Amino acid sequence: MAEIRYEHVSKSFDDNTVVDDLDLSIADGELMVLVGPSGCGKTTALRMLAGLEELDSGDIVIDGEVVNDLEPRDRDVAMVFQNYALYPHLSVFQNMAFGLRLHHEAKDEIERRVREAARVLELEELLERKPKQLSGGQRQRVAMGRAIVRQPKVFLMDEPLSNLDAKLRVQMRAQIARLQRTLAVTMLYVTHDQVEAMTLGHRVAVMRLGVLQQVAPPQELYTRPVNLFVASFIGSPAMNVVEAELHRESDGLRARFGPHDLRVDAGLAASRPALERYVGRRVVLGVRPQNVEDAALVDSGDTDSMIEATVELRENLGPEVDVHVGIDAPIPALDAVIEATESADTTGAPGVAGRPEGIFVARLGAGTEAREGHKVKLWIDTRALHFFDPDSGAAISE
Amino acid sequence: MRRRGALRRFGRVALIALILVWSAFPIYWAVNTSFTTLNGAQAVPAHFVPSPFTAHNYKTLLNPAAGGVGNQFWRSFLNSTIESGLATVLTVAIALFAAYAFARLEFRGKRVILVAVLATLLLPVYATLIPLYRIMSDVHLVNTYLGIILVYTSGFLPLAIWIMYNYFASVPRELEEAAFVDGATPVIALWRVMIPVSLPGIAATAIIVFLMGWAQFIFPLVLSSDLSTQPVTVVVAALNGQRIVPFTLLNAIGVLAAALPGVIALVLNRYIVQGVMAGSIK
Repeated sequence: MAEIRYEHVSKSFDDNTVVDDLDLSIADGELMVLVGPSGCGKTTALRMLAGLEELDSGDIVIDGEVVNDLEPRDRDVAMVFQNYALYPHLSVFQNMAFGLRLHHEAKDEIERRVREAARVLELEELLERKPKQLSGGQRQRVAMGRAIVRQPKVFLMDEPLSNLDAKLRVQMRAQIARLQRTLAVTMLYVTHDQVEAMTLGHRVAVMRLGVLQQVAPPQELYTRPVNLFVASFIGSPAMNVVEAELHRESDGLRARFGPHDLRVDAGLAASRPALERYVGRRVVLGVRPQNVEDAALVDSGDTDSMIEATVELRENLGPEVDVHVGIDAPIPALDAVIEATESADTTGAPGVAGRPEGIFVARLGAGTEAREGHKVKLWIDTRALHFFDPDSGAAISE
Repeated sequence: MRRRGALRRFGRVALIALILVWSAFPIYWAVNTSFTTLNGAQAVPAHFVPSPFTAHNYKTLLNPAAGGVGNQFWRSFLNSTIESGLATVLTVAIALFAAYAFARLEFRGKRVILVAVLATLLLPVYATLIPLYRIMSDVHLVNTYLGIILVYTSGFLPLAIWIMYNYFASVPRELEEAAFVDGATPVIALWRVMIPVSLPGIAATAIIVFLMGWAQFIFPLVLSSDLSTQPVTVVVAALNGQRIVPFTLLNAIGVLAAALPGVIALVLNRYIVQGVMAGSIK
């Protein structure tokens, strides 16, 4: 039970700043997920909280106490490592009891807590086994058990699921969420997998190059990303981004890209008065694949929210169909976008990494008849368009 | 294709057989000779099984009342055990902490010191023989267990540190970090996690050092002057030079002297392989 604060925390290795002026508060009992591509500083941030890395500047506060100079053993935190770091020479029971023994807990108390954790994690049959006799999923649960029995103030999770296969990962994800809720313990969870972040986190903190980009509940992150990086990183398949030009016509604000010209929804335009400043200028337009539909499946005659494009690839997902269409408009070559789209998705979702120039991905209903090599008319939900400044990449959100 | 495969296999077997004969034949011949009489050993053509068979040589050695050669042998055997054993304990104890420091701690000049320690392995050991004798003589440690053990330890340390350094470096850092987070001090983490996990490496180091100690000849020859400290290698050589001890008996002494390290190497072989191979395979 603890509240955690990072206050202007910075950390460099040699000349390389890995965490840059991090300010982040985690409420008591909250599950905060730190997410970002590899090298974004998320693991370092976690390790500083554990006491395994020293801070260059700033403070880390647990329950009102500055812990900068406390050793890991004095911070009352428990950590699950990416490779689990089980003690190979000790049995499952001894692995879980290790911390309790170091804290001189009574023998029957140790026995009780380990048995209880083993019951919750379904490890009772395995207590006498050595780690190397366990499967990956079992090892992962032992690592969790070792953290649980300690009843620490804070749980730290460093990519705990990344070594599991996809199916097990989904199972364990649910189990972690359940455990966290049952124990009502403060948890900081690091992952590079945005799906994991979105499904687990009460709030999600997105980091890039050591800098915190945005902290928000998952839904807000998805619908109101503060910049191009967050927009491209969160969501699967990744958001389509394209360079567009805003212009004003009698019927309202419009965005032109390539041969296409969309009318911006009046309500959206009204809620983003700052867009006015961009009239006659370039912006980056963002469209989530989920906000695109086959016009034939939409009951709308509004041609101002439609584009026509040639299908280059059709991927059937079962309940949905992803189509990749050529839109003949330039993709902004911003580092943030490139980095986010290259590293965002590890689940192998279609069409994210290395999306070629001028390709739009649309997630259509299963009833679509779009065929490769043929034109398709796409309807775009113009209420859900995203606009970004082409130079800074910041969302135009006001 | 099949014929080529068979040919290759034959070639491999032949090569292994050659190496085996090359290294095992002398041992076999010593055992063979030790179980026969002087006449039997000198027979032409040579007997490949002991004929006539006799355990007389071993009886002579194992009978404590016999005195003479038997006593000399057992005393030197004891000396070898004490000198190699204590040198092993001391070497491993020091190397443990040194290797841990090199593998895990950050300190100024770490790289330079490690390379300097290893560089001593390149020094021809005989170049140190006379200076070492002078030093030991000055501190009155010639012909003492302590003197020999100290010299052994100084000689074996670089290799021991290197083997253990590699082993420690192959242990994932997260193991210790997990222990720290679990509440361990660095010393407890070393004692309760690092050392138990590294036991194969430590055992390998100990075995290798012990075997090296057992095989020493020149240094103890120079540093010990009588049977109070002379190891078995030195005594066997001396007996051989006297031309009084029948060489069948000498072979029996040789077999017994090689038996202890031989058994150790055979039984603990897997630790040596595990320890030296650390980190090379996942």
